[in-house]
Amino acid sequence: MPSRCTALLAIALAASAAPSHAARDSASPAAATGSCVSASGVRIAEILYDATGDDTGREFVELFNPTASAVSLAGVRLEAGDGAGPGRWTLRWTGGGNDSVAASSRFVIGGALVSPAPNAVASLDLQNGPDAVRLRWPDGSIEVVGYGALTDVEYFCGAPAADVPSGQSLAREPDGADRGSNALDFVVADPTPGRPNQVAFDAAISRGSLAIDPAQPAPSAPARLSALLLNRGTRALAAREITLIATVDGDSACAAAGPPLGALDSARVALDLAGLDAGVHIVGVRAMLAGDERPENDADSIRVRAGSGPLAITEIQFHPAGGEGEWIEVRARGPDAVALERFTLSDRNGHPAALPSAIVLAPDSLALLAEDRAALIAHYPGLDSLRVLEVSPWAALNNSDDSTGIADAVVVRESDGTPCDRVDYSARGIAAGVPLELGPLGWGADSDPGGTPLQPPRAPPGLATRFELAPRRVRAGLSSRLRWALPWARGTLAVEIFDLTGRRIARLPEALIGARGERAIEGLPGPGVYLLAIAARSENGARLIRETRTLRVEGPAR
Amino acid sequence: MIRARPSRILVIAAALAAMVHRRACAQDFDGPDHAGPSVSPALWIERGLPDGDAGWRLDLVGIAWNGLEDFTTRSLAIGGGGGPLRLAIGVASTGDAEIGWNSAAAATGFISPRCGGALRAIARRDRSIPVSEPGAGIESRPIGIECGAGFWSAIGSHSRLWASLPALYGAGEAAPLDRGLETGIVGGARDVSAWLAWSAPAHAADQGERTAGVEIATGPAAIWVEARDRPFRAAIGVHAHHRGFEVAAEVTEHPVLGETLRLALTLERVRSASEPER
Repeated sequence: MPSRCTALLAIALAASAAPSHAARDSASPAAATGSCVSASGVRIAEILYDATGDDTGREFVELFNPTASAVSLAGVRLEAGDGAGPGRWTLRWTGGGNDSVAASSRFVIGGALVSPAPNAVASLDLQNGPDAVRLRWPDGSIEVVGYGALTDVEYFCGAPAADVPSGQSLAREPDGADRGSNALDFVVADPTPGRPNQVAFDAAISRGSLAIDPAQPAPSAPARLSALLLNRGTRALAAREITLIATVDGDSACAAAGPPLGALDSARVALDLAGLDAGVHIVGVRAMLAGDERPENDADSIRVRAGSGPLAITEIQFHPAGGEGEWIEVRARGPDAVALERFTLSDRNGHPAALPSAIVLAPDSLALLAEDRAALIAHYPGLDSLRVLEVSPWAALNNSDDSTGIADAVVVRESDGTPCDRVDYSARGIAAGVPLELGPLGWGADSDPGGTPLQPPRAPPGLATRFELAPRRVRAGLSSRLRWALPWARGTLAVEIFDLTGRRIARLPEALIGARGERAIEGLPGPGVYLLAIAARSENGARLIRETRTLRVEGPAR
Repeated sequence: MIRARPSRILVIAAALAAMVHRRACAQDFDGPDHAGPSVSPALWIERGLPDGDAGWRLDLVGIAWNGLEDFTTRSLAIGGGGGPLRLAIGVASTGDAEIGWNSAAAATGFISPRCGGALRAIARRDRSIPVSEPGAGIESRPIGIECGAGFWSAIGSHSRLWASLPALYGAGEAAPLDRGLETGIVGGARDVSAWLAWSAPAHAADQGERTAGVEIATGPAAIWVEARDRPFRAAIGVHAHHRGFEVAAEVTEHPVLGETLRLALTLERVRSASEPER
């Protein structure tokens, strides 16, 4: 278990860079939309419309009275709006004669499961965005709060607020804010029914912002844990006022001082872990601040796997050319059988798709995850169809690299999100239709251009040397073949051809190659002895192998 | 009115003939010496450009081409003559059993104070039957022959012009080594000489090459440097003789292929110009 952080990086971002605040700065008030406040001064302060798990009984709308006198809610109507079309408002609650909001106080309307208990219990049944909530006052004034990608102006004021993730609420910050736009007044926040939305001291870790790099570190290898640190309070925090603590499986792994943060500012912070033991761990970060008024948002955690998972990706067909659809070969790694229903499959940006539940893979056996099972079986008639599974929805894999040199990623996770295996692949130099395969030297073009589904990599013919030219003596017009066996998975191969006096005769186009392969040597001008200067370079350019081979081309005298 | 000397006319005629038939093949009897006429019988066979006094010489030559273990050349040539006549014969072996061949060759020509030239012929036989083409009907080791010539002429008192065309005619299996027509000029005074040479392209993919070099002699030894283009290659060579025994070595550096080393041992019995013929 690591005992300390080896480094702390804290990069302060402008307040506008925090995700929860970004929309506020980019949205400006707009005319001809719904109204933002009522004549009474009471305003909607917080909305929870997507509680974690089942929403029933957990949704609430909080009202705040910033004035110095109590305001009666008799006759006030709380309505839910369906952003799918105009005029779709439905009454959810009506204020009774005894309902009122005391000066500088709050009034919560919510389900029976809201804690602390709401002032008025009502089944709100609010929809997830893009939708809206509004208050209609007996005097005719209306306050509307819209969220999500709304287009109909009756559903928001100025600009709609951001759609929040499950378990988070839309909170007006500060409580009395009135900037003329829902997007400016509301931020994503942890639910605080009946309590102020903003306090003086509140350091928080933005939920979902925690990440570790690499995503699946090797056992005992360094890894960088990063998170978005928020100052949700109204007071600026000096450097070292916040202490960041990294935890592994609940134990403190290391601690470091936090950066200075102004009110509502945020900063991306990183802690370098010395290493993790092999296996699955709960890794977290906690922001410690003396006098923190909201300790519930101080920490976040993720599940991290150090080392290999039980299911390995072994072959990827991302650009099929024969109509068989994309497919991925996986192998049960380790001593135990693997139930595939425990895992999900996704690409770099996609949502994970659960694997079919019928298969339990014996140790060290292979299975195929297919975009189109029937087409794949038709293309490879010899396949054991019991081990071919169709995954839906299929995450379509990209065929060409982006600016980072990566085409896409194949990601296998356990159902609870724990990483199991991930392959970020490059399509560079892989001929159309040829799958990628995990060989002894790493990932490269498949040992068989047609693919080896449900088979281990095809053993290449053994070569006595790095390069082998066969035959070394050919008739004019025929070709010889150059084979190679290189100590790296991918690289480039260049061949220059000289005559015996050293004059350059030809230069074959540089080609991207895998560890093993062959190419034809042809197009020589006629009979003669030729010297082939072969240069193979590793993909990163760091290693170079040069050798020369002799080729004799025969033919009649001219 | 300018009157052309007959020897110059022959050089020009040879060059024109070479333009018509530019393909040339040689190098079985290459050795450590710079471009142009040579006293080495091996190079008489190689280029058809005899030089030197009457008497005889025996050359043993070895070439390690670009450091390749499977491709070397070894040759033996003996030659000499009296008066204006010269004759050389030799044998050579190049490459390993799979792609190599053996050669037998002869050259005969003449030398005068103002010109020289020779006809040369070579026969090659592969060291094995090709195995790459089963059923191709090749049941014996292929044989090929070629014939060619070279000629040089003095220009003034300090320079010579030459043309070498080793393969005017070929039959049977094509020679495995290609080289275009070479023409050149060499000149100098006292112990320093310099030369320029041009090799015509041997085929469409060949751009030919240009050669320039200089030699400095001092007593029984000499050293020369030579440069060729396409791509740039440089060579340095030395030779020294003592009492009828001569050694020579030349290293050519190639930017991609590495070094080619040529070594020669020569036994000679040469009559000086003042020594009467018997």
